[in-house]
Amino acid sequence: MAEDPQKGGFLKTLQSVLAAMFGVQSEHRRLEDFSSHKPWRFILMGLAVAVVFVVLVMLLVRWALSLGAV
Amino acid sequence: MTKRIWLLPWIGFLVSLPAAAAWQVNLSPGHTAIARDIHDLHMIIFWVCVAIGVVVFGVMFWSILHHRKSKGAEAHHFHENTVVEILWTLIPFGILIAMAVPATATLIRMYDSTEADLDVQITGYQWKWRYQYLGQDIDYFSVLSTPREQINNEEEKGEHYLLEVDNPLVLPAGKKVRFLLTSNDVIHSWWVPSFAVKKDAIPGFVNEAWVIPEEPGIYRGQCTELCGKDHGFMPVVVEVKPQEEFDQWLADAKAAAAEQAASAEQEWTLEQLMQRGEQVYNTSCAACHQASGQGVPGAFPALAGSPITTGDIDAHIDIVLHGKAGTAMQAFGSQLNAVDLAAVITFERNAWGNDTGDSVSPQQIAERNQ
Ligand code: HEC
Ligand SMILES: [Cu+2]
Repeated sequence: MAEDPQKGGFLKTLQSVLAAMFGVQSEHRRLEDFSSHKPWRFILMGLAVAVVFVVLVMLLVRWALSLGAV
Repeated sequence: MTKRIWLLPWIGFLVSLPAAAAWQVNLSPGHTAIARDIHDLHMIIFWVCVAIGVVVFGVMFWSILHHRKSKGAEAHHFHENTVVEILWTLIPFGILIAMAVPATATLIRMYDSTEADLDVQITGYQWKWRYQYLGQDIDYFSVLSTPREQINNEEEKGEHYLLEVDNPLVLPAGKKVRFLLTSNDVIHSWWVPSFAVKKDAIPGFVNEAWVIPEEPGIYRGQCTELCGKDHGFMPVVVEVKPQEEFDQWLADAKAAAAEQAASAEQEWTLEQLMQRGEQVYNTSCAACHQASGQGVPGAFPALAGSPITTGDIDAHIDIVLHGKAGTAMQAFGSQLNAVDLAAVITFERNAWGNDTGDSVSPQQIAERNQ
């Protein structure tokens, strides 16, 4: 397999990472991802999405606390 | 008729529901705004759980019945269904968020101990509570007052058995009171269910909690962190008074403290000291050394005939003032006033056949307690 069967692409990788975080992925996409030879794009996207998630949770907590402040 | 027989236990259950309300297995609604909020949250979440249970088990049992083998049901073999998987992830997520929003709102309010009208420091001791009204010069211990005879089954148990103290915490109704909780020895936990306040008292830490008591009255609670032998014998009693009565109590307590200070100056006879000493002994020492002065072998030494209580007076005063590090013997120098210390030491030197005839004066205590 010289040619990577998956075209890649930012949005598709993001979709795969989000599906992994959510915990549900279709079998078709899973097979497609696992035949890819470029693990780094998933790893980097995973790290980036994790950071964004943490920042979102922090913002959410700040916002909730600001609502509660009397 | 026979087909409906399975309804009977259900009818019995429904009929018994009003009785269950009196049985009080549920969280009590409490007597403050926060306590009612917590109770409401608890009920909402309880009914959410009931609804989920009914739906999940309903669908499950319906499926089992309607697709049973005797009706010729054939299992449908499939491996995955992304839509269903997404649904069964999103629905619980939505339910959890819906429950988290009101719960977080209440939690934020529970932690907001700012702008209090009164600060009370609460310190846990083995096995009593100390209440210090910050900035008011009021500082006292609250000790179990249930008589030993009731505990030992020698007397009928009273209505508030093990839930009564000599000096309750006194609070004004309608004012925001902040509690600063800490401990002198091990971890205790100060709990008054009616206020929905339950906070750990940890040595070296100060935890905060607050309450706005609404109705004057007496509220009872307990230590809820296993803290040793008498963990079940250090109740919490809070007396909420209307503002004017609270002010009166505050003034009286300050006057009593001043009187206490003055009594340390006066002369005390051996008899007066013995009488007072016995009371102090029974509230502060008997839990360990026993009313008989015989102690508990292997744990708490006997004071009857001990070389310290019948020997050098200064050594006796020192161990009571400073305790003994690493043992359950606390430093009573900071817990009892000079008169009580003099009285209890005099008592120990003359009770249970110790008969030394020694009398220790409050002035002597003050001198060694520098
Ligand atoms: C929480 C348990 C506890 C309480 C309450 C307590 N003691 Fe003690 N006490 C001890 C222990 C344990 C020792 C032994 C310390 C050691 O290992 O030397 C001791 C030792 C003593 C001794 C020395 C006895 C000897 O022969 O070594 C005296 C005197 C004494 N206590 C007086 C008092 C007085 C007075 C009070 C009340 C004001 C009191 N104790 C309350 C646990 C207690
Ligand atoms: Cu305790």
